[in-house]
Amino acid sequence: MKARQRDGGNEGQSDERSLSRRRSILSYFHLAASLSPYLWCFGALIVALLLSAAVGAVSIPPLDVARLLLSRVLPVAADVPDSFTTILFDIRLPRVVLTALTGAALAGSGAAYQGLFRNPLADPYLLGVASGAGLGAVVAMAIQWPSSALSFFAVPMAAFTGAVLTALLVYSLARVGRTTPISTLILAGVAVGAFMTSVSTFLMLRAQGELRRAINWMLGGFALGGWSPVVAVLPEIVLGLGVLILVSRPLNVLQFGDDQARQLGLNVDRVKRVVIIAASLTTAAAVAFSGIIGFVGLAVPHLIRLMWGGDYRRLIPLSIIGGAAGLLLADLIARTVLAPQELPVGVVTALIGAPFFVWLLRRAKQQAFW
Amino acid sequence: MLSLHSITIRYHRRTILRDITFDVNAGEVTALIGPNGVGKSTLIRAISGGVPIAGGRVLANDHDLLRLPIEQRARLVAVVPQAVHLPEAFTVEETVLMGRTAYLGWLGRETAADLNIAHAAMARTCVTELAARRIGELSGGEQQRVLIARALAQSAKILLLDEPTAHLDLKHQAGILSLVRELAKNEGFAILIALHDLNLAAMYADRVALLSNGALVALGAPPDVLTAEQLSPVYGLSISVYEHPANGGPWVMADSR
Repeated sequence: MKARQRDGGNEGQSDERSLSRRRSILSYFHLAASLSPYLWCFGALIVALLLSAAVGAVSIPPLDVARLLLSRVLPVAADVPDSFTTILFDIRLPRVVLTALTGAALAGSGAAYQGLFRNPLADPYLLGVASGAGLGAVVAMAIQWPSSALSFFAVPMAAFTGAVLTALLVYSLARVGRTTPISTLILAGVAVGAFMTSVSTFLMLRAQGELRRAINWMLGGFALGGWSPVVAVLPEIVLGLGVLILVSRPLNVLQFGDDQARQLGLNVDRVKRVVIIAASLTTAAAVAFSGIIGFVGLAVPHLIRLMWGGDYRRLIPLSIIGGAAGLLLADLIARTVLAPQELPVGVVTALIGAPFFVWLLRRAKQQAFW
Repeated sequence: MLSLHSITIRYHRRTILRDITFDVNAGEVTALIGPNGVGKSTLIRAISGGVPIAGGRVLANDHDLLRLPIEQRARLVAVVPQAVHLPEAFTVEETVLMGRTAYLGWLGRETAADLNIAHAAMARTCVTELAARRIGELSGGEQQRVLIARALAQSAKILLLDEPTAHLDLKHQAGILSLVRELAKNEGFAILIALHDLNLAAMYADRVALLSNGALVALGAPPDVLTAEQLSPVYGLSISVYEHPANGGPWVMADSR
């Protein structure tokens, strides 16, 4: 032991140096983490918003975007070309806002599902809930609605029904006695999700015309334009996410298990029902207009958990802000890598998210943290 | 204060416990003993509403406990579970504050009064210094103290403890059980505690309830229940009971080795 120490004297020193460097990096990390997490997430969201609004076939300098936006709320004149105004407010902003809402919805409901199932790997996509919502939406799209206004209402409602039923089905399939182990939960979610997706695909291929559009939608493209999809999803997402923020303390109590939560005086069944309905409503609204986008609901809450811990009172609101920023950035990549061609954003999130998921699985296996 | 009236519990058509009747008095520690799997934990879970009962009633301060809404139950009876599978995310203070769940409105806002009650509970179980630590990183004894503090924060005068000393060393066993005894003696709690260690039951309990084959077979002061004649058939081996050299109480030993 002594001899090894003497021989390795130099090595030891350089080890020490790299250790202290690592420590100083860590201390920066802690400093960053101790700064208000909300500032960080909002900062990321604002940057992502400005970039998304700026980049496109016609690029608008981010400063002009900021100036144009400010000119709408403050009495300042925006000294920019008129064409920018049209592009920004009629084309780009609707899409940016829809993307942000979708990201917020997926990450917020992902965090809530993780709390509900006491499982950090739950996510609307892996649970099959997104596919269930998708099937509901496709069924609604397959029906010839007498008016487009009615179909605007019917598609999210059908998606919501599909999402709730799928969540309940997966949960009951995954239950082993009084627990829901991660393995059965993910297996049940993937199996049910695959089934739902194939039924959707079958329906889409059988029907002609109208549903062709749905194929593109299924892969997670923001195909619809204008402000009307934003107006259609806004109430559901705001309502769903609002409820999820309100139940964040009960979700904390639930982390101790159903038995302890009941003994502490929590109406466990009611809380679970509220979370399933609110999270499914949120997911369904996102899926109904933006398609099935995976891994946002997994990756974003996870990064936030790593940075700022697993207290749901903080995790859910931060995931909502972070999810909006994250999906905006993913969409930015989807629009730019093959420009002028556009990738479906679901392809980008899966390309980034799936390896992240694998990394999480391996990490989880080492730490056995469930 | 807490009385069980012919509690019967069935699970998958099998009768786990039948016709269990006894009282847990204020100011006393009642120990629930019996072989592994006899249903000690099940009985505690049933009293707290975690397992449905097939028959009987639980009265807590003359309220039919299992008919009360879940919040009101938690204000009458607090449960200290075994310190296993605790989530990692929460600090000691946050955990103890969860004891106030039954008193919060549906928005779940904790008030200064809730915080004071939680702090008093933490002081009572000597975990004040640990307030900012995460429960996941504490030792078993510390975790158990935190869980007792959480139960005290419920401001319920009936405490149920499920094997609180199961994974603790001698010193921590003594620490936890002395605390439990003080709570009964000095503050008038009615305490029911499941224990598998008969000598700990002998030392710390005022009364002992012996379960065997789903029935209550003996109830009384430790010297009356912890006898070779009663214990040997229940545990299915030859048991001798001596006089404890230090405190004169019963001292239980298995004869074979």
